Amino acid sequence: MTVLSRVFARRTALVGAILLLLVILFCFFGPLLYGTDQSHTDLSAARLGPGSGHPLGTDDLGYDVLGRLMVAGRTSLIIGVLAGLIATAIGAVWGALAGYTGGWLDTVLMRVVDTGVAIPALFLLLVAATLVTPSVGVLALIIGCVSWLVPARLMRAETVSLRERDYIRAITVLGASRTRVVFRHVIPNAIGTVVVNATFQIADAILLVAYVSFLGLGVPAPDTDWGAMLSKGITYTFDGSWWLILPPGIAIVLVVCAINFLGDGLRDAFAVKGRR
Amino acid sequence: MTRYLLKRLVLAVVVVLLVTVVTFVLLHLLPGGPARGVLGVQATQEQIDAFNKAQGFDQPLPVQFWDYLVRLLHGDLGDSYTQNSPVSTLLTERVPKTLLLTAISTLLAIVVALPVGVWQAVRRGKAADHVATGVTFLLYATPVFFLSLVLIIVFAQVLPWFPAQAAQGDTIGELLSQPGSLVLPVVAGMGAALAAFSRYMRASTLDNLAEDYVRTARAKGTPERTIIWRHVWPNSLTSVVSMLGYYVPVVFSGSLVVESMFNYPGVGLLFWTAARNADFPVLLGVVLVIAVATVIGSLLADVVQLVIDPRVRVKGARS
Repeated sequence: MTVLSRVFARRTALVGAILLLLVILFCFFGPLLYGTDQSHTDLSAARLGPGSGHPLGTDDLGYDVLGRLMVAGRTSLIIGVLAGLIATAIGAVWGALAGYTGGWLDTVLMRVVDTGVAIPALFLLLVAATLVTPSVGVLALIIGCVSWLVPARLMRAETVSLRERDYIRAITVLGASRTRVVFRHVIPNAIGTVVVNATFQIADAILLVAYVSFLGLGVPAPDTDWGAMLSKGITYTFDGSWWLILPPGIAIVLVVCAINFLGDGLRDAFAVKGRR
Repeated sequence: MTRYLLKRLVLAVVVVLLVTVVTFVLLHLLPGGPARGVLGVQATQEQIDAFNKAQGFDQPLPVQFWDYLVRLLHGDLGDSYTQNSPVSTLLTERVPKTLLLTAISTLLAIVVALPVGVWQAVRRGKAADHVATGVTFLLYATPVFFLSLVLIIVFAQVLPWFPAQAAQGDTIGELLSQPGSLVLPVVAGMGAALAAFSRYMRASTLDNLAEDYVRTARAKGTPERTIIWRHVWPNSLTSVVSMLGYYVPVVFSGSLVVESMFNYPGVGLLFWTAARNADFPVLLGVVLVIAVATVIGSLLADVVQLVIDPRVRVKGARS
């Protein structure tokens, strides 16, 4: 069986993949079917409950919530995926370098990781937000740069065990350069672990984007993302405007869940140990 | 073993030192330095110069860093820009309150999560395992602020059982005298930890179930119940214990949100207010406390693992 068919043999992974596909369709192609004005405020239509014309109501500035959910989802997904990939790339190279080289470089690189773990990512994000104006690219870069520690640790562990394998030793004896061994042999052979972890990184990044926006440091208006929608909706929680909070909240939970299900399926498919 | 402990101790100190370097550098990366943060964008150059001179920010960076370190060693974390009080005083007031909240929710989460993890592992692939997996994923995927909001809507608005605002008070005793108001913050803080620990326990138990010692025990006719609780449980526990230490920053990030959602007077709320007011001494103070707590946490986790897991001890210094 190929990896993919093994993944989808698991019902949870299949459900995750389908859910994720639906959300992507909703966010990127939804606006083509359901056009709404997401750049001009309309205070005369502010905070309307769900009903005809606005299936999910409108927010405090008169934006249609359903349409806003699509636009916001695009931002959340793009930043999440980019940040997850950046984190995975940095972490993979860092961990492979540390694990393969060993010695003092390993010690130095891993102490940097320990330091990063000890400093809360939210602190770095807060400081970064005072330094630069957040945009989609900047946020993805910053979130990617604060969340590469776990993939680095994983990659190091993987590399240390690969390093001892005979075929890597053979290549080294044949005179392959260190860079070549790391990039051509160690990283590709650890790719299973990395791919699985990347899915979790993306899920975590989407959550982190939500946190950052929730704290008021997200993309500037009229752009928005799910975390920012939630954060704005909180003001009206006690007025009973549930349609401002539940849709973005449920969207975040749904996407993160779907990605985690998919990642779990991938992990099981790659894992040899549990396949008997 | 002593050698290993000493080595770990030295590394811990190095990490703490690196953290101080990072916080120091970040503070100086801010546009206009700390002066802009305090005086605001309206400040004139003369005002900034005067401020920098008064605070010693006109000295060369290495000198400033050395001063910073010396002051830290004396327990002097500077004074808050916005609150008329030294950072160390603010922290000693707030840390116990946050510890109270996080300790209760983490302990409760562990007490619930560990048996659930084992229970799932034993039923791997069965419907019960899938359901529990679904629930833990749902919990993990729910941001703390959304969970808090849902809790407030359901248990403070629709069913007015608990207040939406956390207990207020200067002492732990005062907070504990209003237990009803601690329920929602504690439950909100449990969510992610519950999910993470039960997932981890499930994986760890599965790994152990595949080990030779389990097969030996089964071959000898040991009852399954004894195998699980006498042999697998303690072994699975050690790996979860080692994770606890690394969990400190996660717990803190959660408490930052929980405290601001329920207006609980802890470190998280202090940090959040400081962040909004660009009160950098407070921010740095909080970060240092968390960093030291994380380092001590992982150190303790390693030591505990050394004590309770004979396999680690036999490997000795672990090279």
